[in-house]
Amino acid sequence: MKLKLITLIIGNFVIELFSISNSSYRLHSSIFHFEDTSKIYSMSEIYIIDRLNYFDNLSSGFVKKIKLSEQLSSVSIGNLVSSRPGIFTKSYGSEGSLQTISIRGSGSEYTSVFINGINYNNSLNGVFDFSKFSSDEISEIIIKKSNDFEPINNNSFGNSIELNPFEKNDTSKSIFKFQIGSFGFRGFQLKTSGYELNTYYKINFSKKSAKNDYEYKFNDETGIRHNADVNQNSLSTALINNLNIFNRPVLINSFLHFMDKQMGLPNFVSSNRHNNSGTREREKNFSSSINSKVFLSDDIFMNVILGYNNNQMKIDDPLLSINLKTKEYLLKENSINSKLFFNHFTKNFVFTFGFSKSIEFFDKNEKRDDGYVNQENLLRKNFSSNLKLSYDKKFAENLIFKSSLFVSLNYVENHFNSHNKIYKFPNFRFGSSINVKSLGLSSYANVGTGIRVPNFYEYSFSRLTSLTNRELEPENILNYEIGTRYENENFLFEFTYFTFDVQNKIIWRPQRVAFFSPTNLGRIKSNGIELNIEQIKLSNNFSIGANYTFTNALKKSRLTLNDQSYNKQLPYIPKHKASLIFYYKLKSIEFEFSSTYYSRRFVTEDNDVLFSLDPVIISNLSSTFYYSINSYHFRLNLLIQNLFNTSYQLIQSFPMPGREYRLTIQMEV
Amino acid sequence: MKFKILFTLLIASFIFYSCSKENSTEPTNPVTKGVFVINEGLYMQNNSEITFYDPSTEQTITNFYSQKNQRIIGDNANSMYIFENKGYVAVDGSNKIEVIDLQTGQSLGIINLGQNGSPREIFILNSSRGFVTSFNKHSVIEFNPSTLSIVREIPVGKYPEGIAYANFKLFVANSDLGNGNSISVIDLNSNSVIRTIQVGRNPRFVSLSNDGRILIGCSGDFFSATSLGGYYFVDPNTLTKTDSIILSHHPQDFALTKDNLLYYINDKGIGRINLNNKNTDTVFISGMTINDMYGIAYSIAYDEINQRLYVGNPKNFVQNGEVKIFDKNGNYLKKFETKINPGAIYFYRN
Repeated sequence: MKLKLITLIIGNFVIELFSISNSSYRLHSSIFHFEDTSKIYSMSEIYIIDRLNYFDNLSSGFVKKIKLSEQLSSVSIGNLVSSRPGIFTKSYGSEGSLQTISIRGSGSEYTSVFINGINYNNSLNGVFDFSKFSSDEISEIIIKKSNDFEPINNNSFGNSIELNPFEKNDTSKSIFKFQIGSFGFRGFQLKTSGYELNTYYKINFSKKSAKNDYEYKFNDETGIRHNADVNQNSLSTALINNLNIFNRPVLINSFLHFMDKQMGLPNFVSSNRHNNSGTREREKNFSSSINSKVFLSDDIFMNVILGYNNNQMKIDDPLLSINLKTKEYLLKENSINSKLFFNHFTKNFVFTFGFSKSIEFFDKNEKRDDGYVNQENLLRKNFSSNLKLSYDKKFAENLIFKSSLFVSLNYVENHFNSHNKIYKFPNFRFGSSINVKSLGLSSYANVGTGIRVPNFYEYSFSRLTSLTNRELEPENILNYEIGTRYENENFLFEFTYFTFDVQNKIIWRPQRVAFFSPTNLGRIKSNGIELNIEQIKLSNNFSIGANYTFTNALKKSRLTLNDQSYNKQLPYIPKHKASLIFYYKLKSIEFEFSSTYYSRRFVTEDNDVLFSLDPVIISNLSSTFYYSINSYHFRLNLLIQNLFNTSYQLIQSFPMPGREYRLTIQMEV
Repeated sequence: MKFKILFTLLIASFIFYSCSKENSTEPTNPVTKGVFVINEGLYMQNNSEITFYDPSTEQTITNFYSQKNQRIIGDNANSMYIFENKGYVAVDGSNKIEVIDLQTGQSLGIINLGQNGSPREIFILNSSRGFVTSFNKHSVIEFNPSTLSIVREIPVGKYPEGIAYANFKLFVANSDLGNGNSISVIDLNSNSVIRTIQVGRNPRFVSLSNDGRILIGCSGDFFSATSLGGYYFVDPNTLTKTDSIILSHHPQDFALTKDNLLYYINDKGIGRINLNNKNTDTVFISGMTINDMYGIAYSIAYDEINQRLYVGNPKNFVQNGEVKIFDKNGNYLKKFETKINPGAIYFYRN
């Protein structure tokens, strides 16, 4: 009965969604470079150089513009960035399966995801499911692998990712796209975008479905993935509106998103266990946000953000595959966000001051096998006041020094069932960089703190019985890095040393046999180096890129000397990761080949090799063909994922698909 | 220069890729006696394993199964029954009974219990009749140990765990995930439940006492610090409850000596009851002596010949554990390493 009860309590169907956060034992300011349309202002702007995809800032990270070939193939966001340094994508299966990203050995709950200034991490366990968005819905991904100096991302506490859905097309165009692929994959997209009435608009409808009944090899046995089908419909609009109010320019970015997803939740596999779980999930999401910049004067602009997010998930588990008692889960989440920031520019300084407030309500209903309904809810109110001071000085024509200090005072009020808890804490971030433009050389360093407040799942189990009743405290995060970047017209080279340190970490501790509960006893520390070389142009048509990440993510807490997990690598974090990317373009055809290597990943805390995931190399090939007739533009893309049909897992007991094909035909008018 | 970088990276990748999983030493001679530990592993992680320990040589083979069969046995192995030099291993999460040659570790085949088969405890009557409690099917499944085939399913109470045999009857503990309080009695002539007997809360362990009675261990409600459990005695002839010893601190698995000393796991460590006079020592061996991380023991067995008490230490339940050996007075002697969550300990003598 020992582990059965552990399973019952922990809820095992999707590790991240009801997470134990096993992996967690688990940058940069003013990225949004909106261009003014009515006046040129003296504020300093940060330019994105499209070709090289980096940003000149105080922390490492990158801006990834979604290439046309990537938009065509409509892969998940996690797959798009998985080959980048410091990024670890964890997937539980093929198309539509839960996918999370963790950065630099931290858990996925430490990666904050923003869309249009609003945080999208869920209240249940603090993670974001990247399978909800695919590459044809997003124009740009901005990943900040250390401290985020963007004031409107004030509620990040570690790494952050911004998904930018906005497009600026001066001419109207419409796209019709059809897709067919392995394991019953079908896709359809209808998108229209353009510029009318001072507004850039993009309206997108996409529909994807897949059976995902792929064959896999596991433990010398062969199985077929059952109950892994997915059907996902999304509708979104993204508007960039340029207004003139009282003779002042106003930029408004509005985003509206609906998603309806139905899918099976397949079982974990094991020896002799390849059966159908019978578990079904339906998720509906509605989110809307407005991010406006109001230019009050030549040197002052106000940033106002409002957002609303509603998420509902229903899980039916008639065979009790998740735990042995609950037949139905209903999870509802509502959040309202508001942010107000004032930015004042002088010749050398930018001063930002602002507030943000959010109210989140999370409600969980469990219908048990015996008819009993268990309900729990969490109401969370967040308020923070924020101050940022940036200094920018040119010492010589080519020598630019930048520095920023960001301070926030935070107040979080948690109401879990009848229990109330208030947290008050400051956070700070400091960074500086030196840029020698003539040499193409820049160096940066930054340090910052963060606080992670316990999530619903941790609260729920901390107060489950009289045995626990613990007052969970927030985790303390210290995040710093130092790096250098060199760039010329032929390539980009970047080297970074990083550290991500979590103290007072919430870990799951056995109270007695078959009963775990969370408590603040842990510490993890992840440090390492990243080496990145991008777009080495070997010829006019051919370029390559390569990167390597060494991540030493260690558990730094132990109860006794007998604890063999002390100073061991955190589960699922490879010590070594390397990628090679080849890109070839000739007239109307282009190819991209990428290959990513993951070293051995341990599954247990004491790093027993017997129970580890073998090193693996995953390669993908994409080929795109362009053809135009008059005003009709045709694109044909063939994507082959897992080109060499490698048998592998990213999460133990969830085998990934073998070679997958996806053919896309797109017509643009 | 650019190609050199690329080439170096490729070479480095092969070096890293070539690391292989290490195995413990394979036994050079067939095993004739020793200690087998069933390590449960972590649910959904497919890391169950069998450990073998030879007390005479102090040799330990932590991965006894995988070093012979070159694969993992499965998910959440719960227990083993030794019959005719073979080990019948109930692998709960893999819905199978794996049969292994105990002398070599070689797998001899499996009994596939089907979806939700979830085997917990086994009893084998003879070479044609074997029985296993099926947790999720709420039944006892009869199988043929020779042909490895399923014979029938006999419905019992909810979430059955332990099983024992006496007088051509089976006695099955119905845990009901901690809410149960009964045992089912199956008549092996009619192959059906003929009686349900009320015992304490959360019955999980069933064995035979030295006087031939059925001994049932009840753990109480794990979610309540004050919930009582205990050990109950049932007469296998009259099918009535004859005696009980009520205990606090969630009594669990136990080992009974020929001297009628019952060593049992509880929240405090290991307790001891003298069944002759019911004198109880709740903390015979303190939990921190066994497990200095959380004070929790996970399995227990008594070696009658050498008079040694073996206690499984899961540490923090997410890393490799160990078994500690004590003398009958509770003095620590030595230990050996196991894999994750040593859940059951068996002595094998050919």
